[in-house]
Amino acid sequence: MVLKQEDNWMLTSTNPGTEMGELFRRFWMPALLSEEIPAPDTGPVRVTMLGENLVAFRDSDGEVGLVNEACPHRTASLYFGRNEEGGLRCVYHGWKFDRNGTCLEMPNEPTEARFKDRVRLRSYPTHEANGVIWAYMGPEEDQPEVPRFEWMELPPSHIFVGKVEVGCNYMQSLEGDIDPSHISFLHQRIDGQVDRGSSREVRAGENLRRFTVTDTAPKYFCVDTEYGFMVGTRRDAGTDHYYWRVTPWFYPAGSLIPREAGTLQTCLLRVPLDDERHHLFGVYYRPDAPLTEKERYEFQHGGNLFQATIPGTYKPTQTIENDFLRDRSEQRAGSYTGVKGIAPQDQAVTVTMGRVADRTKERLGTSDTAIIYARRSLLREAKSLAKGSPITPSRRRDSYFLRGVAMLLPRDEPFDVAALEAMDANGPWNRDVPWAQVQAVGEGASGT
Amino acid sequence: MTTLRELLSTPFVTSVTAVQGPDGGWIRRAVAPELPGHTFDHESPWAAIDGLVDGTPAFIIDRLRRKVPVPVARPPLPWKDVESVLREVGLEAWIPYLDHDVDDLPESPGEPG
Repeated sequence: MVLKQEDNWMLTSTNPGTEMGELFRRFWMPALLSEEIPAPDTGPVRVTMLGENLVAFRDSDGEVGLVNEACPHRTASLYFGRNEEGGLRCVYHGWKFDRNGTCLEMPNEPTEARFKDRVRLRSYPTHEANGVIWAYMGPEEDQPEVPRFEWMELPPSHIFVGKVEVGCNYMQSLEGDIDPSHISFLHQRIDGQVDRGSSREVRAGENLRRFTVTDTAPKYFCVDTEYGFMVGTRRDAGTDHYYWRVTPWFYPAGSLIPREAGTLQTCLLRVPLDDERHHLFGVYYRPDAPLTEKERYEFQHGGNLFQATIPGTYKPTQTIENDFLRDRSEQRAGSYTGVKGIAPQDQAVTVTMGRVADRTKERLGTSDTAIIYARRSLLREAKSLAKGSPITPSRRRDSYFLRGVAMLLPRDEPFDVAALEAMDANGPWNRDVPWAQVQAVGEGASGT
Repeated sequence: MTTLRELLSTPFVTSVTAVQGPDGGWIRRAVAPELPGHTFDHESPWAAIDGLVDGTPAFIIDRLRRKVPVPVARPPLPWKDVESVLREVGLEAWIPYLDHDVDDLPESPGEPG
């Protein structure tokens, strides 16, 4: 049994009026970075989300507006507008709108006609936190609380936020985020080492990843949660423990990558531009310490974890057009792929599936359990919403206050219950926490 | 007191393994490790998960009718639309009993608890 074509279309189409598009519009999503509109009254920027062409601007009060790109008068682009004195003015005939879409001025119409009171520009609520501007594009009466991710409340010195355009449907990349068996191959080296690339220091402390080398066929366990579901990936680690990588997956397209205590946390949020492209918003952070200068430099200049972009854009330098700069000599020398960097390695296999992967031709196995679970969950909720039923995820603000964890657990303990303390973002995050002191014992404990 | 609604809103872990079928061929078995005996076999892992998840309400209700306890593995998801779930799997007759104590469920719907 493979995915039916109509379900593949439903899963991958998020434009206005589609079932999945309606589901996505029930959630707050990252729209752009604060750095794109750095100061009040700076120029508006284009934003494409879920197949809608929008512009974002920061008004004179420093508040962010996210509005339809087309002026409601003659549909001229407001990207060319003048951002001045509390609103965005269309350069065609001077109509001016505030960040909420209210028409403030209509200088080419008789004032006494009050035509401006009957015209609105479509606008969406926004929320700005730690360098990311979020938007809610759904019905006002169903607007949830803004999610509370841990990184949204950290000092700016502790986080790096990056954005990059990926040339394929969001779902292909999302599936990679919850497919932990691929790290035993795609991101590995042929000498059995983890491919840390240029980021040996950034990724120092990931001692348990050795078990991804010795156990390449992990078992997957999924369980529903109020934010989506949790994926537990289990590998053998000695005689008494399993090595668990626990990934929280959030509706509609987010996840926290499992990390060992004290190492960098990673939050990946994927937002469709249209059905053939999406933005990856990647957040890398230390919950209880600033990033080092080396780490920040690496993130900003395209290290192993986050990729280089063409200056002045959010387009990656490694693309399908240049084969992701694959280097065959590197591939022979030790890199599994010959592609530099984790994200480009991921994109080399997901973007090349095609703009929208044809899932009717797949042959899924047990290692695809989490991917199947994600597809089922999204389709179930989209279909339920289309029938007028409420959606299952609670969208409760605090339900997102979590961490992704990689840890050893006794063989007889349920992963989600045993990992609860480690996943709580209120707890400490350093190598001294008791759960990080567990050592593998017995045969296979060394991971070699 | 635990109600039927709470049990049917409780998330249970799902996993899929490869097992050898009676004819020697390999098939996929979806299992709910916390519900011993609850499995579903199919060639496709997707269909196996479908079968397991769709069969969970019937599995739980059957155990309760036979007075076999069902483990509450973790807190229920209170916003789950249990009525719709029961309708989808043809168990709508149990909807009137959703807020009954699971210890007082009748052997079949329609009978007094």
